[in-house]
Amino acid sequence: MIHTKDLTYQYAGGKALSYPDVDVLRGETLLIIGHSGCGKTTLLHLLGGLLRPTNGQVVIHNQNTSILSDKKLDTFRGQHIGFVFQKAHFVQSLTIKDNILLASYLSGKSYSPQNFNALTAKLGITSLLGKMPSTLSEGEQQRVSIARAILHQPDLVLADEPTSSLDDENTAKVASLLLNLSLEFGVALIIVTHDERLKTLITQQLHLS
Amino acid sequence: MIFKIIYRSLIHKPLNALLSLFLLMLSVAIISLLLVAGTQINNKLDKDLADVDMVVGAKGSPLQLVLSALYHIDAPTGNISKKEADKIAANPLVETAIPLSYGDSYKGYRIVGTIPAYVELYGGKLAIGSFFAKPFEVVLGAQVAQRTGLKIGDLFHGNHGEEEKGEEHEEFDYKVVGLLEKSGMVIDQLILTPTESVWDIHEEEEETSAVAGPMMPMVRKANPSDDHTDLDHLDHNITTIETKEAPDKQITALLLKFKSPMAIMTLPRIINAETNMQAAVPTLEINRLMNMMGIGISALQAIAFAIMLIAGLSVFVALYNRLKERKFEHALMRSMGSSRSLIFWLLLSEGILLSLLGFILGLALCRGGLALLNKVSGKDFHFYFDFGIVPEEGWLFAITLFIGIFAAVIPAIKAYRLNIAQTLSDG
Repeated sequence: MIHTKDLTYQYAGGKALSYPDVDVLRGETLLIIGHSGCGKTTLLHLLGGLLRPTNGQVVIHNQNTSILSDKKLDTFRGQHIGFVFQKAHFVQSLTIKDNILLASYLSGKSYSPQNFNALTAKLGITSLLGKMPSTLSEGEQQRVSIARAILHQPDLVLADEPTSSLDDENTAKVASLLLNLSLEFGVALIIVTHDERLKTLITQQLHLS
Repeated sequence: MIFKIIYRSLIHKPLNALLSLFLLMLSVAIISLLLVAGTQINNKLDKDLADVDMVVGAKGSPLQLVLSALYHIDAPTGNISKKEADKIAANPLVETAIPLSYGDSYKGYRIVGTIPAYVELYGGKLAIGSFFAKPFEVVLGAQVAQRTGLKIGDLFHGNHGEEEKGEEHEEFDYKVVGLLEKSGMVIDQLILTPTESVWDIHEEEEETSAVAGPMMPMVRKANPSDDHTDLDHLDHNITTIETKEAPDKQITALLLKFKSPMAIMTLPRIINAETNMQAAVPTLEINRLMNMMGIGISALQAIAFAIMLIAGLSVFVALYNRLKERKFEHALMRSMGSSRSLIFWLLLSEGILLSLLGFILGLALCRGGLALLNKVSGKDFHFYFDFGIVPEEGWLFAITLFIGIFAAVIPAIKAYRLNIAQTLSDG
C-alpha cells in the first residue's frame, strides 16, 4: 500500500535526514520508534505529503506523491490518508459530529450513516457527538480523532504519538482501537512514537537513529 | 458544510462578531440616511422650484421668503401691497405672475389664496371636481385630501396661523370643490382657494392697520354691514389678479417667471433698491442653503466613513487575533484534504458575510430612522420620505463589501501561506 525509496529531507540551512525504506501493506501496522529529535515526525509528514522530500519518493496506492502538484497532493491526501496527531486538533466552533464529518466532506468521499453509527459506537463516542471539542477529555478527543481519520476509509492511517499524552488505561484503549479498526477497514497503519508501552503491542517495528 | 463552518466560526466569538456588525450597521445606516434624505430633499427642493425666477415679498430674510413662498416650510416675511405687486407683474419682462396669500391653515395644512395658474405652474391636474371659481371654494392637494379625509362638498373652517390650535375662523365655511392628483410637489400639501377668500377673512385687520395682513391675529369687526358689502363685491366671480382692482388689498408674495433671463440681472436689484419690497432669486437662495447644509452633511459623512473604517479594523483585528488559535484547525483541515485556496476563501467569506449582514442591517436601520423622521417631523414639513433604494446605495454596498474583503484579506493570505508541517509539529 505504501512504500518509500531512498527518502531524504534537508532542512533549510539545517541537518539532512535520510530514512530507511518503508513498506507497509493493507491491514499491516508499522511502529516507527526513535528518540525525540531523530526526525520521526518529519518522516511522518513526508509519508503523509505534508512535506515534500528533498530526494527519493513516496508511493501510496501506486501513486508517487512526490510528483503531484500542491492542489492535487491536497486532494490525494484527503482521499487516501487519515491522520491522528499527538494533540487532537479540532475546528473549535463545530460540534464533535461535524468535526468527524468534516474529514469526509473535505476528502469529497461519501460515508454511510450505518458506518458512522457503527464506528462511533465501537469507539464509545456516541454520547459525545453533540458536544464541543473543548469540553472533551484527552482520551475522548483521541478516540474522536480516530473516528475522523478512518470514517472516509482511507488507504493509510498515519498516527503521530497518538498515546503519549494519555494514561495507561487510555493508551491501551486507543492502541487496541487503532489496531482493530485498521485491520477491520483494511488500512495500512503507521504509528510514530517513542512510547515504550506500544512496543509490546506491535511487532513490526522500525528503529530510527 | 462550508457555510456552516463560516457561520459557526463567526458566532464562536459572538462579541467580536457583534461589535464588527454593530459598527458596520451604524456606518451604513448613517451614510444611507444621508444619501436617501439628501437625494429626496434635493429632488423636492428642485422640483418645487418649478422654474420660478423670482419671488417678491415683504422685506426680511430672502431665504425665509423663498422657503415660505415657494416651499411653504417657513413663516412669511410679512405682506406686500397688491397695488405695488401689480406694478411688477405688469412689467414687460414678466411672463407669469402668481400672487400668493397665506397665513391660515387647516389641520396644519396651509390655506393659500391664489389663482388657478399656480396649479398649472406645477403641472398639477384635477383628480376630481373643478377648480375654485368663487371665494371660499377650495381645491385640495393630494396629501391634504388623503390625510384629512375631506371630500368634495365637505365644509370646514380655517384656523388662524400655522398651528392646529390657532383661533378658528368660524364665520367662514370653506367648501371643497376639487381634489388634485398627486404630483409629488408642494401643491400636494396645500389647500388652494381664491385670493379673495383670504382677504375676506382678514378684511377688518387691513382697515385697522396698514401693515397688518393675513398673519395678524384676527379681530372681529363690530359692524356687520361691512361684511355684507364685501360679499356682494365677491359675487363677481373674479379669479385673476389682473382683473381685480382693490387698492388697499395685500398679498403675501408674488411668484414670477420672466420672458428673458436678462430680467434676473436687473429686476431684483431695482425692486430691492426702489421699493419697500424685496425680491429673492430662489435658485441662489437654495444654492446658499445647500452649501450651508453641505458642510454638515459632509461632516456627518466623514464621521460615518470613519466608523466604517473602524468597523473594518474591528473585523480585521477579530480575524487576525483568532488566526493564532485557528492555525491548528487550518493545518488540520489541510491535512484532511482542504486546498490552500479553500482556507483562504473561508476566512475571506467571514469578512464578506459580516459586511453583507452589516449592509442589510444598516439599510434596515436607515429605513427605521426614516420612518421615525416621518412620524416626528413629517407633519411639520408635510414631507414624507420614500423608503426606496437610491442608486448611490449601490456604491455604498460596493464600499461596504470592499471594507469586509479588505479587512479579511490579510488574515486570509496568512492562512493561505500556513506551513502545515511546521504548525502540526509545534502543536
